[in-house]
Amino acid sequence: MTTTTQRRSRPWNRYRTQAWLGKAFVHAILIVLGLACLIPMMLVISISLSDELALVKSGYQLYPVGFTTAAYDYILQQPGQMLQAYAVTGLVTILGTGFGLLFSSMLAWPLARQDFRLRGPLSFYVFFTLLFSGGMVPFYILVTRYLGLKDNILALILPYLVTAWYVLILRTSFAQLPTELLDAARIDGAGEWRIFFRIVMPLSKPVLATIGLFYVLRYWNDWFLALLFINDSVLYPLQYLLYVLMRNISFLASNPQTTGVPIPTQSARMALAVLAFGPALFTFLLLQKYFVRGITIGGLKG
Amino acid sequence: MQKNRLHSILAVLLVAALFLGACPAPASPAPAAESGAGEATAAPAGDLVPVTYTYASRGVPADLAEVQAAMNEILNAKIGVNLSLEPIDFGAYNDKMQLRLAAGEECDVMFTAPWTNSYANNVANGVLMPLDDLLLEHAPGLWASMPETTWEAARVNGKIYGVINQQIFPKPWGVNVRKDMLEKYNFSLDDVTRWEDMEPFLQAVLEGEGITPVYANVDGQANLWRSQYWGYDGLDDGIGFIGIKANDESLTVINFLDTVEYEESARLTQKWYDAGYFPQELPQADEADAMFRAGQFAMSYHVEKPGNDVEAEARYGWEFVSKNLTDPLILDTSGATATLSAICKSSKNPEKAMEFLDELNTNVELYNLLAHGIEGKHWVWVDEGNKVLGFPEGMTNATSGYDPNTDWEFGNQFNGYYRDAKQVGAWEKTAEMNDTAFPSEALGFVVDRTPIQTEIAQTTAVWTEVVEPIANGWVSWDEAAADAKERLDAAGAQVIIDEVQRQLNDWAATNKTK
Amino acid sequence: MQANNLKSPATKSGFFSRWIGGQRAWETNLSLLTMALPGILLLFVFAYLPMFGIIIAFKDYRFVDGILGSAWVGMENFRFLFGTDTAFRITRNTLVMNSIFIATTTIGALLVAILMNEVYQSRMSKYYQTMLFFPYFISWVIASYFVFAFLNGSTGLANQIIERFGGDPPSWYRTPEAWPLVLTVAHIWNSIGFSSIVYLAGILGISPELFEAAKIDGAGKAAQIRYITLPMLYPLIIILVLLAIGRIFHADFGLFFFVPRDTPMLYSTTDVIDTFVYRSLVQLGNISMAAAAGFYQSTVGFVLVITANWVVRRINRDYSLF
Repeated sequence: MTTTTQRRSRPWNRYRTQAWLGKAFVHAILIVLGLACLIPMMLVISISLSDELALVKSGYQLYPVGFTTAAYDYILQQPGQMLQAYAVTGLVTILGTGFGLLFSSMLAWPLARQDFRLRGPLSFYVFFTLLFSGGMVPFYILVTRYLGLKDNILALILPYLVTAWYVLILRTSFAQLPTELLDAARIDGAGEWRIFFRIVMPLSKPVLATIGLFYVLRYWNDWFLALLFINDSVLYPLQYLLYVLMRNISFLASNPQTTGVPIPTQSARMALAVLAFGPALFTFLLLQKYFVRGITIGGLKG
Repeated sequence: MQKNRLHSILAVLLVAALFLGACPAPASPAPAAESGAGEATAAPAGDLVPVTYTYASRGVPADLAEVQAAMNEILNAKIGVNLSLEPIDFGAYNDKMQLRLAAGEECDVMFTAPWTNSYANNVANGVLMPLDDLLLEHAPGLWASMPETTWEAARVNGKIYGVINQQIFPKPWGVNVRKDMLEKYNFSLDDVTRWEDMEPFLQAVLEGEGITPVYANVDGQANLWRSQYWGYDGLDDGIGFIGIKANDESLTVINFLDTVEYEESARLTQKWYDAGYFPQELPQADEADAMFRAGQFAMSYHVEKPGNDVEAEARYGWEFVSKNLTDPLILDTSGATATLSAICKSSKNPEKAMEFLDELNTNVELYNLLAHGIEGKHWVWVDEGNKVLGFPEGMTNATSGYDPNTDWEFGNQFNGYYRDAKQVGAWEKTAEMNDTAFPSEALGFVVDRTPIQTEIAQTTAVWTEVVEPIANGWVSWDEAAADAKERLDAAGAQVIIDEVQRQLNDWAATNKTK
Repeated sequence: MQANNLKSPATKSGFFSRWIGGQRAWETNLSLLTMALPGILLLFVFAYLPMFGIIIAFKDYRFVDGILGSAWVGMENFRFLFGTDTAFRITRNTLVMNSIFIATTTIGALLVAILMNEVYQSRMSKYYQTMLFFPYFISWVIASYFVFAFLNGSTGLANQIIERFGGDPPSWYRTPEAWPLVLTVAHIWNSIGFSSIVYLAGILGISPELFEAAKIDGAGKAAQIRYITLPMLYPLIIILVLLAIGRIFHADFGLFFFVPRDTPMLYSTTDVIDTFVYRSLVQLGNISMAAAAGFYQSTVGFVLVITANWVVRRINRDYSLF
């Protein structure tokens, strides 16, 4: 929409050609960059569908050589467990992202306020956790013994809920919100909570979408918490299941005890990666619609 | 607004949940008895004593509960133990067990080894129960099943902390060569006794096939140094660069870099590397396996244990001819303690745990239940006379509900049934190897790493950096050896040698006088 | 705030109320504190409570004695880090490589974000964004296979190209000098999508009216970027750089371990604190020594970031971290 108005207001041909050339140049750079990222991804998919022996001879190709689904067949011997793991990961990701975004924003907004007296000390309080950690053993003891969260899905959600890095980015972004609007709301008698939910959050959609995306990726990709706290295979999240499958495959491949079909280790590794990112990519595309320009004061009023 | 209220309610709920979870922290830091949670399928009836057994496994088998029940049928009646099996995935076993032990969680019987859930570290950390008295009182059968010299191998500072699983103890390093290549190039292994005897064949393969003849990957060191092959006892694989000559009665601890054998090995490896017998750049293990399967290697060196051909064929897809080149075979502590079962210090019922271990190692039926599952359901006899089993009609290792495939982990492997007719007799041959191997003068000595932790950390890092390139033949011995020795010494090599020598002398004073 | 102070005289007397700034400000502060409370508590439980475990670094932690029961050993656990001549090398590699990463990623990400913003109306932008995120899903283990396929001596694409143009192909896995470049490229490739999206969100948050006003004043693209986009992004850039400085002593283990395939010949440029610690302790599994290394990394990062923050504060108070 903005482009049409721009065009109408700029009738000179020379500028238009220049602008067009500039845009083409920008596209060219981004296409090259995009391909550098796309090709390895295509290799992963193609190797996952390749015959390993054919691969040794031909090297990595962008199309599957000696097409076979053997790796997937091997991994998906128990499709039920895989589906269960998707469900666990889905639930953890949704809850974690939702509450994480909420609590992090609720913490970041006061930290962004010049008139909040504890701004400095609390910012430091948040930041400090980014640098120092007590290590795995005390963390493990705390969660299993004192919080009693072993084999509990909350153990996969709570530890990452408030992450210093995200809070500080949110704070920076919140601090740049136009003050006039907030003042206006205050004069109307709006309380802090109302201001936060009705003005701050809606105005911050791009950064919330970004941090939301980070939360999604963090929860989606995590296997570490499960390694620590989950023994019950019903509660295995996806990445942990894949991690365990890969380690088991490597172990089996190097310690075969009986005759059998050799396990396609390398293509299995790639197939596991495909199973891991496929759905995450889908979420990514879904979230993209929140990256919209021009959520301005005017836009909000309308 | 509706949405806002929902937000606040959810927020309150979650905070509440957090607090409810956080508040009832036990006042006393007594270890929570929860390690067996979720595994106990049947409540122990009457006065059965619960015993947990934690081990590494490939996933949780679907029919685990049935196997556990079948085992309990035997155990309940015989020793009044109610067993719960706790398999943990191989990939996570080390991390999970070390965390649990570090956090002081309770456990009864667990699998420990030099390479996962480290036996030496567990001993150093004091989490294992000394077993000497328990063995004598509660496991006479198990105690009698192995000669006393074997038990010595598990003894640290005078106490036995682990039950050795009987399997192959010495490391018969040798060659594993593709049969088709041997036939094509008309080469026989009969006259091969040393690595270098393979050279004419390797050269022929290199020229004739245009492939790299010798398999190597980033994990298995790509070199010809194998301490047992060269007649050495490595004392502690975790330290890596020290050892004694296996037949040295003076028990002099040496730095491998100072030996002629190490130099010879390095020079030979470099010759092979330069000639192109070894890969010029090392592939990852799975790449290397795929390359072997695709015919891009002709041989590997390997532990040539009886029945190994079957396993190699399963891994690489070729028919193999193999030959052991390690002569004499050396029985050292690390070989004898390759896999162990231990009882945790935190165990509430160590006596019953020991009785369970006794049963597992002496009761053939119980052992094979754990190793292979239930007869008729998970396996059937192929040849009962020779104790060879197979899958029931239509079942494979992929569709079986119970096929752990890790009999070496559970106990005395010689009690196991064979899985392939070609393996028949392998246990007898293995036992013979164990009995006839030359026992290292230091057999039974275990290094106590506690006083030299810093030095071990330092030398381990330096070893990989400066010695591995020499050992792998990437740099020449003449150019790099002197510098490598210097760096290793600077990292504390001599401190380690002196300390180990002191420990070894003390050990000899109490153990060798008999 | 000053006005508030004047309007509400001592409704609550004493230092505290004066510090807060009166009734209205008191209520505001209370609301804000309530709002921050869940976050504060979560951090307290999951970050601060386990932090007492830092004392493990100063103890000979024996599992059976527990954390409190183990013996104090002073700085003994730190000795392995500094005991050899490697200490200087790993510190230098970690600092230099991370500095390069911070600089290149910041500039690269800004550049990509600005470019992306220029074509944001285009349907293609969605695909660019998605594609740039792909590497994030490729683990370093998998990436190491591709790097190997590209650089290995016998069949590697890189050397084939060099040979095609008559060059003398190097043996990459024996040439440590090449690896700062290889690792930097790998790092940018992996993180550019992730980093640029933060800046893109920042740019999208800038009020379009600012750009419209600039256009009316006759500012071209370059001028708009220089006088509007970048200044508006300064707070974000500074915060991200400060956060990165705080972790400058922590290296990305996967990148430095898997991509060079743990090749000893490359250690002179690829060995960083994290890989060294891993290599030293892989046999020992000594938790105390690992804790000591972590504590050392955090402390140095802490000192650096406090210094950097102090400098930022001197220049512009609003941009500082705390």
